[in-house]
Order: sequence, then structure tokens, then C-alpha cells
Amino acid sequence: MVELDLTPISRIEGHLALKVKIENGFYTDAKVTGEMFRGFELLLKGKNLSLAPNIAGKICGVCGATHTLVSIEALEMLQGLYPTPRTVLFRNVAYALADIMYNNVVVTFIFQGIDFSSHQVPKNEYERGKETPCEYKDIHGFQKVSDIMDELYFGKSIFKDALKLQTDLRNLATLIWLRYPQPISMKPGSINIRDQEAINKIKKYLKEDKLIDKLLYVTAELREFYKGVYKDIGPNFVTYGLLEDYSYNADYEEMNKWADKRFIPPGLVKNGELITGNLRDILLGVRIFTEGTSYDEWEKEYDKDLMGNQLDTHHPWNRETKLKSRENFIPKIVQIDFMPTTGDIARLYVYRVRKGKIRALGYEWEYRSNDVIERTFARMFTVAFLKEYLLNVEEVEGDTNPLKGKPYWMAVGAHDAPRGANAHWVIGEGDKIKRYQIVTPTDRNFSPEGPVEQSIIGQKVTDLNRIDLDALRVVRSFDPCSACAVHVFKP
Amino acid sequence: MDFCEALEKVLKSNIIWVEAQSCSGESVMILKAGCKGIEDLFFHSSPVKFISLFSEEKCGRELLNEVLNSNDFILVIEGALPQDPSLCRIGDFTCSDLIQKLAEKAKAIVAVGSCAVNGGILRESGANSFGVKDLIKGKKVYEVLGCPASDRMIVAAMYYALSGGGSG
Repeated sequence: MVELDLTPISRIEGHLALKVKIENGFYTDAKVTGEMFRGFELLLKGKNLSLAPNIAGKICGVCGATHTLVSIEALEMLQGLYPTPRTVLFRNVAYALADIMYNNVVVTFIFQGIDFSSHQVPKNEYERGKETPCEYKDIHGFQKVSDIMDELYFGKSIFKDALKLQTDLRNLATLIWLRYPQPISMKPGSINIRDQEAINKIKKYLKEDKLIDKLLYVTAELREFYKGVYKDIGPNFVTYGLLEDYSYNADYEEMNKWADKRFIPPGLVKNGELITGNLRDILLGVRIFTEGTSYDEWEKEYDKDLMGNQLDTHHPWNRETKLKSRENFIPKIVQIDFMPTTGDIARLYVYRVRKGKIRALGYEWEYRSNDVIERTFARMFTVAFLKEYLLNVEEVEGDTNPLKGKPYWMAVGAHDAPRGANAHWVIGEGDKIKRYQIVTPTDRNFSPEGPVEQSIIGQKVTDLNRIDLDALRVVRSFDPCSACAVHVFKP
Repeated sequence: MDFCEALEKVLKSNIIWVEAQSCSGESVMILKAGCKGIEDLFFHSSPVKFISLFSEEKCGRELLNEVLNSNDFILVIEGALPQDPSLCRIGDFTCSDLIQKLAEKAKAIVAVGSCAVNGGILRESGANSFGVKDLIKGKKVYEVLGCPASDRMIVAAMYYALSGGGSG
């Protein structure tokens, strides 16, 4: 038996620890933990509600807009302030570019790509690459899979393409966000639009772009090449959905109605079956547990939500958090009784089940499995899918003044980040924050005994000379963001 | 001198970029294409090394050893430092220990972003964090405020720090 400590893990956001055990050519144990703590929820407590988006926006510099957006949506519910269609349009366009598209390009190529480059792949894998002709060479220009591996490394052509593309995508998003990370144009119910031509400029760039097509089909080659190599942990998925419909109004009572119309709709999938597409029900089913983490138990404060639905003790609206130790700052997140994967693959799966076929840039996506290469491909496919979305958005006239609706004192903002389901639960007291709870996608995927550990345990070591590589590929395929995961709580 | 020229001069030294309690905002700011050759200079061109968890090939002890055995480097720190050092760890080290160890050898030290400068927003959090200059005594720490700090200012500060930076 070999024990391997891969701490600290590079090419991810932040501080993540990973220890694995290997026996007879298989990973038999895996422990992934968060090594850093920051204390955002304490920071938010007692502050003016209006400060929440600005403070929450500082949780993460990689997912530079999601926490601002989700916090704004929570405030919109709390204060009954709703955006007009024009505001929604500008938010959608900017959010599709950065966070989602820029992040996914960075993670697929700047972070993960190195693991599939000729500097990193085991000899046998590279030899196989030399014997594998590319299927889409007319689009990307590479003859063999090994030619792709040669260009994935730092400073090589595919790496450089990705570096340029993600820079451009971020710059385009900044036309609307005005700053990235941490957009400054968004406010509850509204957005400041400085460049009225922003959407035309963005569409013009995307019309001329060829890099997204190239990178999509490069990833499609890897999808075939690594088919069946990595452990499938099964179709258990959760997504809160992505990009609002113009009918969005942030009213908790109507949540199912407006969330349902998101471009990618919400969904909870267990063993391949859609259990519910109702966002409110999904959110009511979130549980935070303390076992295997540094956190202590708390008392239940609220029995019901404002519609009379039962609230569990372990639901985020009830959570008050205390640190009891220092071993793992990532909480344990359970969806009632299971731990679904969240992220691009979950979104595509739910879209496919709820809205039908998914095509982008000539490629039709169908679900295969929940493994390293499928999560990776879903990441790049999402970039292509959103490129098409953006090419098809149409200008909406009108103003960006907030519409008035019904206020609440308990609220939740829930909207997918690139990495998956991201939600902030707020309890207001006058104009102050009484409680603020954040559950990020990395909290879910990297929970003790969650999807990442499940994916490593039982995985075959593909090359005994590189016993670290498979575990690292698994971790990076989930796109961890530890800054988000360990945003939390009072020590 | 423009930004790209300054960057090229800065990258004649190795750079060790350590994230303490950070959100990677400054790492994201610096991760931009644009300057001719920046892609080559930035990542792993020999002999220059830009070592950061954000962009490093290796992991674990191997990575830490590479960092600890480095010479001729600028130490860049992103993120705040918690009162209780165990709230921020990098492998076997606390962030504070690792930074102090590296600071002894560094030829210049630059704190990037408000968190690294003075604890930033994390001063008020449960971690009661502080900035790099309160950790490193007896050596000049150059500072770039901002949340996030701008990539241009980060490069300017590295350039200034390397050129001696006056008496500070």
C-alpha cells in the first residue's frame, strides 16, 4: 500500500489538500480537505443589507461575478426589487462571458490541459495518441491526438489560444460589468449601462471568433480518446439553472415559475431520473452537516419558510456556524439524502432532459457518463453553447429602473456559477443582515465523501509510474474553487 | 517604458507568487495575454520561473521543495494573513511560516491587493487578518492596494522594487 500526499494541489483556485491511498493498482482511499478559512459570513452579519453584494463579491476572484449576482438576486427577493428585461439582458450577456465562458476556458486549458499535454501524459498514453488520428482535423488542424498533446503545455499553441481567448472574454464582459472580478455595475433591480453598444461589440467579436470552435473540437478529440478511462460516478446531478428569463421577478412564491424559464433550467437528478425541476424544492432540500469538517453543531431557529414549508435543522436558513477544529474548512453538503455532482455536466444533463437536444457549433451533445473526460468536455461544450446563445440574443429596448414587488425578510439567491450550484441564504432584520449563509458548488463537489472522493476511490491507476496523475485529473475535472468553498464562518 | 517592457525586465528574475487568504483575484488579473512573449515568459521558460499554485505543473512536496530551493526571486504575496496561523496552510506549512521563510531569501517583496497590504476585508472577519508588512520585519515590503489590484500596478511595483525603489 502506498500513501500519497498531493498537498498543495496546483492549477486550481486556492488551497486544497489531497491524500490518497493506492493498493494493487487502484486508489483505495481519498481525503480532500480545505486548508484555508476566511470568515465571510461573520463579516456579513450585522452589516447593512445593501453592502452584501459588494462584500460577497470578494469571496472569489476567479468566479468574479457569481457571488455578486447571487447576492443581488437574494436582495431582490428580500427587498422586492425586480430588474426590467433590459437589465436582465445585460446581466445575462456579461455573466455568460465572465464568469462562465472565460472561467471554463481557463480551467479546461490553463489548468487541466497541462495534465493531458505530452509533458505529463504517461508514455503509453502518448504512444496511443500517436496512433489515433483526429476526427475533426479540418476544424482544428491537428492530425493525431498526440499532436494535440504536444500543444497543450504551457506556452504552446493551444495554451496560448486559450490564454488569449479567456483574456478577450473577460475584457468583453467588462464592457458591462465595468470591473472584473467584482462587477460594479449591478445593483438590486438594476444595472448601470455605460456602453450602450456593448452587446453589438460582443456579438461582433463572437461572429469573427474561430478559437471557440477550434478549442471545442480539440476537446472533442480528447473526449473520444479518454472514453471509458475514468470512473463513472453515475448520473446524480443538481443545478439551480443559468441565465434569467425576462419574466424573472425574484418573488419567492413564484420562484418555480420564473426559475423554470431560465435558459438552462434547474433540476435535481437521482440515478438518471429527474426528481424535480422546482428550484424552491431543490433549495429546501439542501442540508449542511458537520461530520468530517471543522464545524460545530447549531440550534434550530426556524421551523418553516415564509410559505409554510418545513425547514430542517440542517437547512442553511437555520445554520449558525462555529469552528471546533482546524482539519477541514469545507462543510458537508447533502441534498436530502444524496450528494449530487454539480457543474457543467449537471447543467447539460438537466437541459437535455427538460428541454431536448443540445447542439452547438455543429456538435450535438449527448450524455455518456459522469467521469473526468465527460466533465471536462461538458465544460468546453458549455463555452460553445453559450457562444451560440450570445450570437442569438436580441437587443431589448426600455429602461433599467427597478420594478417594485413584494418584500420578504427571509430570502435566497440561487444561480449556477461555472462550477455549479451557488446559493446565498439571507435573513434580514430591518435594514441589517441577521444571517448570511453561502453554499458554493465546491462545497458540494468536495464535501467529505462527496463526488470527488467517490470519483477517486476505486479508480484504476492508469500508469504505475505516475500514481499521482489520475487523482489530480479527477480533482481538476471538478474545477475546485477553494476560496469559494471556505468563504465561511465564525471561528 | 511601457507595460510589456517593464514586465519583460521583471521576468528576468524568478517570481514566487504565494497566495495566503486570497480569492485569487490578483492571480486572475495577471493572467492576461497581450504582451509579446508574455505567455512564454510567464510560464516555465527556463531559466525564469513564475511559480504559483495557480499555474504550477507540480504538486505537493515536490512543488514546495522547488519553491523552498529557489534563488534569485521576487516574492509576491496575495491575500491576507490570519491571526491564528493555522487558518491558512500550504502543505506542511502555515502560510505565515512559508512566507517568512521565503522572505529571508527574497530579493524583493511585493504585497499585491488590499488583503495582502493590510488584511483588507478580512480584517473584520472572524479571522481578524492582517497584511504582510506586519509579518515581515526588517525588510521593505512594497505594496499595491486595490481589490483587485490592477495587473499594471502589480508589474510596476515589482519593477520598482527590483530597481531598489528608493528608501521606500
